Amino acid sequence: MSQNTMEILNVKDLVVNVEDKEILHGLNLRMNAGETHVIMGPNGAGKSTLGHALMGNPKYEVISGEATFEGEDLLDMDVHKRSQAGLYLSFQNPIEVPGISISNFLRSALEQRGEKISLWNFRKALKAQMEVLQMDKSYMDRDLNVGFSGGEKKKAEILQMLMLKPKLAILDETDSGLDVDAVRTVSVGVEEYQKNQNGALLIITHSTKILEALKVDYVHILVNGRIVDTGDVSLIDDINENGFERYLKAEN
Amino acid sequence: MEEKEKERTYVEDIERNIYDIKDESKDSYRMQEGLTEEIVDKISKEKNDPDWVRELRFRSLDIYNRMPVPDWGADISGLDMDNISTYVRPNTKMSAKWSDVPEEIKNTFERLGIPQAERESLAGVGAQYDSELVYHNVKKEVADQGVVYTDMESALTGPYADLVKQKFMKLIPPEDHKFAALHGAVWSGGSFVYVPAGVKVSIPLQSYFRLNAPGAGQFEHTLIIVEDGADVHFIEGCSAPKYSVANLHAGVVELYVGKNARLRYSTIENWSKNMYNLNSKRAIVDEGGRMEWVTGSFGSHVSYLYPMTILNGKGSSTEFTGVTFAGNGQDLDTGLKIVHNAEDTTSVVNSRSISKSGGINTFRSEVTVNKKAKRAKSAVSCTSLMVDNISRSDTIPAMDIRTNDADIGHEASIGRISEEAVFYLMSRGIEEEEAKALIVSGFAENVSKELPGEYAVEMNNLIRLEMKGAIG
Amino acid sequence: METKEYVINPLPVKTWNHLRMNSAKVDIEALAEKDNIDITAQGVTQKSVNASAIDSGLGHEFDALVTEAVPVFKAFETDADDARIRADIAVHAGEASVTALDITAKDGQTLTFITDLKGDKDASGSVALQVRLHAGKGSVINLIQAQRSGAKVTVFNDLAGELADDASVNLYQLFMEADKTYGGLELKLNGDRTSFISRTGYAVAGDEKMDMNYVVRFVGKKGMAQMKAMGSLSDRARKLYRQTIDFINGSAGSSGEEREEVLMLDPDCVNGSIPLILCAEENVEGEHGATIGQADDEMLFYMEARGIDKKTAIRMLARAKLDAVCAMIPDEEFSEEMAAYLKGKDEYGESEE
Repeated sequence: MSQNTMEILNVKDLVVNVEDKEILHGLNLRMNAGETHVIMGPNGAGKSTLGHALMGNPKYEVISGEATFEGEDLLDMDVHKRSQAGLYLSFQNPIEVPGISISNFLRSALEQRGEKISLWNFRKALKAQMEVLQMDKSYMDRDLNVGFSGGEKKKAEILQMLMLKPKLAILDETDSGLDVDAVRTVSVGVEEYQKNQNGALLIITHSTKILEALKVDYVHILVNGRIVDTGDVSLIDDINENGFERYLKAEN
Repeated sequence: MEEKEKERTYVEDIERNIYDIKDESKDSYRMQEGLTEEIVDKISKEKNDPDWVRELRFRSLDIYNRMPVPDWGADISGLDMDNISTYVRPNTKMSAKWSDVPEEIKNTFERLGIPQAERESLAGVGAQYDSELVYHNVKKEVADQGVVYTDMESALTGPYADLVKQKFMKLIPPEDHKFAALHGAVWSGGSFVYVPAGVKVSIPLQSYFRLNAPGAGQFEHTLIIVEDGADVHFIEGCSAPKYSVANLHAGVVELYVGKNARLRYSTIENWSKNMYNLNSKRAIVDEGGRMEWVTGSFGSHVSYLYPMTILNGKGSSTEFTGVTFAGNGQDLDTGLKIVHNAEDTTSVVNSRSISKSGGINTFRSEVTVNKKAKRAKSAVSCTSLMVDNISRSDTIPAMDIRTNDADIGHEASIGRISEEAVFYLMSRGIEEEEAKALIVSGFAENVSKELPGEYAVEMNNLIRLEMKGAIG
Repeated sequence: METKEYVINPLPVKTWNHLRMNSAKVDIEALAEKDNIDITAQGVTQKSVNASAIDSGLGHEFDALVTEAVPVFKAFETDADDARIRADIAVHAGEASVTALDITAKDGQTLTFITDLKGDKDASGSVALQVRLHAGKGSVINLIQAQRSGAKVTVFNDLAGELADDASVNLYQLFMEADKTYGGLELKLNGDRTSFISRTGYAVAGDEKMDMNYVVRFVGKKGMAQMKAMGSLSDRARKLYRQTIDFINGSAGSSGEEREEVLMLDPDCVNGSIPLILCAEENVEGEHGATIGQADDEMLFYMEARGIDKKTAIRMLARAKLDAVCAMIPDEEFSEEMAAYLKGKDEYGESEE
């Protein structure tokens, strides 16, 4: 499927607790560079937990298991190091950061990666990506996510992804709560990342609208904190038709 | 509908008169006015004080004489101690049988619904008349659990005498402020409550304070000790008939809340409008304990009232819910103090005030978060309502935050009754005064919904009476 | 150096003395006018007015000190519709200087006035500035104040003023560097339909101390005031902010809002906040809101997840308070100058470790 077969992510037997409750019970997942994987599953299966645990959110406690990113121990890295190594998490509920503009924020994030880029070139690049996402240019000087609508917040997440150019982006329910037009715009951004930046994608979703324009390599079914099935894109149609019923039955 | 309205207003007027009916009964003993060593000596002898209480009285008097009157707060220049009798003993002995209480005093309390309340929904009742308790009773099943509820004087010599000595005026020492010192010198009456570890008292205890004598002071002392894991609700009600001379209330309430214990302290205060209400209340809360204040302040000419909570144990918490209604001739300086003194402590404050007919409201608060109170959380919300244009409402909240590991939020707002809301209710056939009374009752709902049913009804009646100007 | 104790920054209504918030007691050495001010102005006439007492934020004792030291104030007015005045005030070593400025915007004029207290490399001593504003009918005064006196300087920044009908005053303040800062403001919204907007940003670090007293009195009808103070405290910094909105009887239709955001970055810093709302008028709306605490965990995780390390993230959030005020400054040239200054401060690492 992908010409590039270098392993980017390898998760082995990952057990994660949230507030002392075990959510992931030994999850396994392997991804190669440039691949697109989709994780589907019913509510409460642990889909968001996977993304936050990989990114290192302190609220998500890794109890056991391993995760490597390009062969490096991911779980050992500080959060910002994971980001700088090329991991990106698009938040389901992006945080409002008053006083720091999108432009200022992204420039600092790039500087921290050691990228020296002139203000002029930076703003030019930012404008170009905002155009892809049909974002009003005035947003670059607005405080990050502050007072943004749900759709604007999701666009701002994709904008950050395009600017930071990660090697693997985890999109956590990026399409939830968006209207048809917003989903289309966000998809264009994701497509841009997939095609032009050759980025790997781990898409957490329970709807399939966002997937229509993307090439999908693997689909995983996450139920009760474990991946219970893996298949190709045809699995999506199966879920759309039959839901998660048979997996849930098998679990019980 | 209209007939019914009129009738109701009439009934409420009668009800207000209940508070104002003065007893003709003669006191058996009334201390001469003023505050001197002789007077303190006489009170002490009259009450057969243990030595340590007698010493405390004289030490307090000395502090009182040296301490300045506060240079902040409502005007108390109309209060002259030379005109206040600090001790008035009613013509009866304390009784546990309602039938033994003298007829006139009984009538007063019956008009206020005291024995009725006991029969219906209380675990124990105390009634103080002027300087002494005249009635005290605890339900047998509550007493059998080891709960002690008695008058303060009996507690000085009772089975918990040592504990009382250890705690009495230790949380609010006479050095605290001038009126705490005054209290220390002339205190009389009040209640002692002891709830043993693990005992949960499912229905409330109540004390009712009635000051009947003109030109007198009431200085009752309330001491409540809630041991580890115990749970109790204490309700306090106060009233007095109105006189043209100043009366003074300088009670002290000391509350000790043990580990994982809970104390709810509810007050409906309806002193008459010649009363200087300079009351002090303070709670100290141990690990995991919880202190809840529910307070409605309606009466008095001048009030200084700031219940204080010291969150002294890890994970302890407090919640304060209060409403103050200042009408004509009232200057009510009320609020609270909270000190976060340990890790993971939490405080929540929801305060409302209403100013009407020239009344003055001051909301005054202090939230202190000490350095060791890591992960402390505090949320204060205070809302003021101006009902007309001749009243006043001031908000003076202080925050002193000494750790960065704390989460402190404060919100205050002031405004008036929404014209639209009044119009809306009027468009449904409710006349303007009634509409405003309804809206103000709704505004004070934070408190009424926390009170047991009959107290909520009493409070709403007080609001409606104030709103309709029945009380001048 | 001879000093005398003064009571300054008096809270308009007293509260418990044990809080030590009712006023500040400060030893001040004799202040004198120095040749340390440089005025840049277009189309503005500079005149003199005799000093007289005024209600200012730092209070009567301080005002008396100023009027005694400066018997004749520098006064500015213009016939142009739109004017810009910049006063650069230099802070040298060991001085105790005082500057008093009296600014009038005539009816309908727009006036931008900038004061920049800037210290030499070895600046020390104290610097006092009192600015009095008279905003005529329908006039607009933009007062922009930068304070970068230096880590050994005590600053007294005092404001007083009155607004006539339909007048607006917009105040932007950046308190960036001083050992001790005493800031005061008392504005009287005398006219009808006045507007006052203030944005005060600060960063207090090391052993620095900041003590403020801002009072807005609503006198006329339909006045509007929005005061916002935002800043950060680090190391052993101490800050006390008194904020008062006073609705005087008759100020019907007025609305006032006070906001405070305090970011506390280190365990040893101390924050005091006392936001008063005084009200003797029914038909008004008053509001206060304060959030005090450290950087939000979720916000920090979000920033770290984008590759910004925790220390930088916290510094950015602290600086964000000043940056935000800087970005609002309506004078482009000065806004850029301050942005560059703040950036420079950042790069040379002002934060203590």
